[in-house]
Amino acid sequence: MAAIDRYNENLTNPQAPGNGCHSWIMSTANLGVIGSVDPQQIQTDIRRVIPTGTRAIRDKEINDAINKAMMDHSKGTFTPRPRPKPIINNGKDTRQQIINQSQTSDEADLYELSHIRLDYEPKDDAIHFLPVLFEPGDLLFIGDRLEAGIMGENIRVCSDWINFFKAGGTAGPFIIINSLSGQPAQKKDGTGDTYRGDGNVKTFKYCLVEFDDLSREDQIRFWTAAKLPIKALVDTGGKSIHAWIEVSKLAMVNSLDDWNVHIKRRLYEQILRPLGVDAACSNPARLSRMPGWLRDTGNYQRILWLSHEGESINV
Amino acid sequence: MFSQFAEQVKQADGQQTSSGYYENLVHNVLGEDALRAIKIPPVKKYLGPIRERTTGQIFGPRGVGKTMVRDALALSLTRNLDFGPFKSEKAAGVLIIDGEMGADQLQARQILADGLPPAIRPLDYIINEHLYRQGMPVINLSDPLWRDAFIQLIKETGSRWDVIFLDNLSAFLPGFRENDTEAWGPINAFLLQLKWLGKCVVFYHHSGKNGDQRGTSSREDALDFVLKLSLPAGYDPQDGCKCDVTMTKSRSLTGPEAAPFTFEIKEKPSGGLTWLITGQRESKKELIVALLGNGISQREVADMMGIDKGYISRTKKWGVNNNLLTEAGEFTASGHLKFGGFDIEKYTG
Repeated sequence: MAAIDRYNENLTNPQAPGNGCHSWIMSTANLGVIGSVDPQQIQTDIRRVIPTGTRAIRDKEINDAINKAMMDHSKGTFTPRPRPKPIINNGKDTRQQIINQSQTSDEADLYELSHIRLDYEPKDDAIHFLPVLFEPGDLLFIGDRLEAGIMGENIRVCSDWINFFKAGGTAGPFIIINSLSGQPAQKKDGTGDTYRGDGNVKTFKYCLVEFDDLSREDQIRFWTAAKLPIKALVDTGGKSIHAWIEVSKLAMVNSLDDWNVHIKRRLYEQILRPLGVDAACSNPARLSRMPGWLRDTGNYQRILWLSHEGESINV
Repeated sequence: MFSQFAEQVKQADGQQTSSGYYENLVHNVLGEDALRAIKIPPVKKYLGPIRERTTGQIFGPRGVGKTMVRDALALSLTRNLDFGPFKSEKAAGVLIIDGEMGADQLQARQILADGLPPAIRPLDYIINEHLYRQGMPVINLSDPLWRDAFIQLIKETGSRWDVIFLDNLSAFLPGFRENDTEAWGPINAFLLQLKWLGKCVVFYHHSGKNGDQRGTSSREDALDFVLKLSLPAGYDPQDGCKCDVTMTKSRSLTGPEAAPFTFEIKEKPSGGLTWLITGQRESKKELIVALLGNGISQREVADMMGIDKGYISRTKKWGVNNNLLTEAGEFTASGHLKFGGFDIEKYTG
């Protein structure tokens, strides 16, 4: 098996801190370096997948492992990119303050507040969701997490998808939040091309925000208080709510570089990440739960709030 | 909308934002009655013009004895002692922030405290040289981080210090453009903040070649008092530390307390040093009588002392009335006894 494949496999099987995590970091860093993965990406990947354990893993431990791997394989040294400084000092308290500004914690109130009436069955959500979020000609990926993007199958223009759903078709459970170019682009790990990566994004219309560690009620409170241009709130059918944020109301983003400056750094790293938002959501080809999909648990992934314009719910 | 969200999180984080400023303004417009109803404690008076919530400046040429005056003031403040015409009403805690002198020199100056009553309030020092010797950066008030650090220190120490001496401006503002009114803005704001924290801040500065304070005159606008130190007429370096102290600006003092005086350091008969303060009016009169009795003309005395001839003439009359001078301007017997041995060479030479 090639080093890059073993690296990717390692990322799917992380060891918790206190249970062999350090050895796992060392071996993952080694495989990443041998597989020519960008060291900054190795750091991001490792940080992203490490589960909670009995001790905290500091960035230094990961950086040291990458550095050692690079020196062992004569690939120089690793200087991590400095993280932008958060604009807030105490993320948890700040988030709680925002939550306290809301008086809505109830899904029924949220339903009443939706700018577009959601008076249909959750199974029909896709038909109502797509025309509000996208243009008819936008190329969209709807499929599963590990599926490769295939033009004409799981990547189609928006109007085709709407017809597909109207005809009773089912697709999901995920949708990429931005429309795609339809042109192949190199994968991040350099192992060939893809049609559904960050390099394939055509228009940078939305970013996805999700909290991992908030109760459902507090998530609703946060989203009904936050002064962010929200286009949709989607119930994942699990514990989370996915917020679709309209990027053009935050900054001019026309390229991946713009995205990295305004969305990844200014929004996520300086504000949302300290507030407890899952930083892994910060890429433009992020998968979100497709509304109208019935999960194995018997719960629908469904729209909770929807608007033609990205705006704050501001109760 | 990005800025709206950023502002929201900053506010939720307890940070000040522009809409926070707006709220502050809206809720702090005071009507006449509201202003009257605010309970403001009376200003604490410490020593002469040195009072709670004031700022002052002491300036003079190099070597005139500014730090001696500072140390004597600090000792008077912490021990509730009068300082010449300045009456002490309440002891004050003092922080001296020294930018130029060495800790050894300051240690030697402590001899001034010998024989004084014990301190009632603390007298503390922050010394640039001491910071430097310990490998730390030295104070630079041009840097907002240093100013913030001082504000934090003053807030955290609460009522320990009532009076802060900043000695001197040039040392704490290296490379500062002294004539630049704009550059003075942040420093002025810093001094105001200290004042609003209830402190009296006195900063020291060198005078220019013309004897006035160096740099922008706007510096004086916000000050409550200014003391000018100058060498006395006929000063002889052998006299040691001796200077005239004149209050060139005072918002609180008038009358005798605002009168000029002469400060000098004297050796005590029992050993050690002390300071002596004499009213300038009295010593000036006596000097004029001595010069006139020794045959110096009224015009020459006026030129020598920088005083108008009318004052010399009136002083001569005072000398005649007090049987020190004759109408011809010569010494009487008692005048000769008192001032005959006066060393006029010092003034005429």
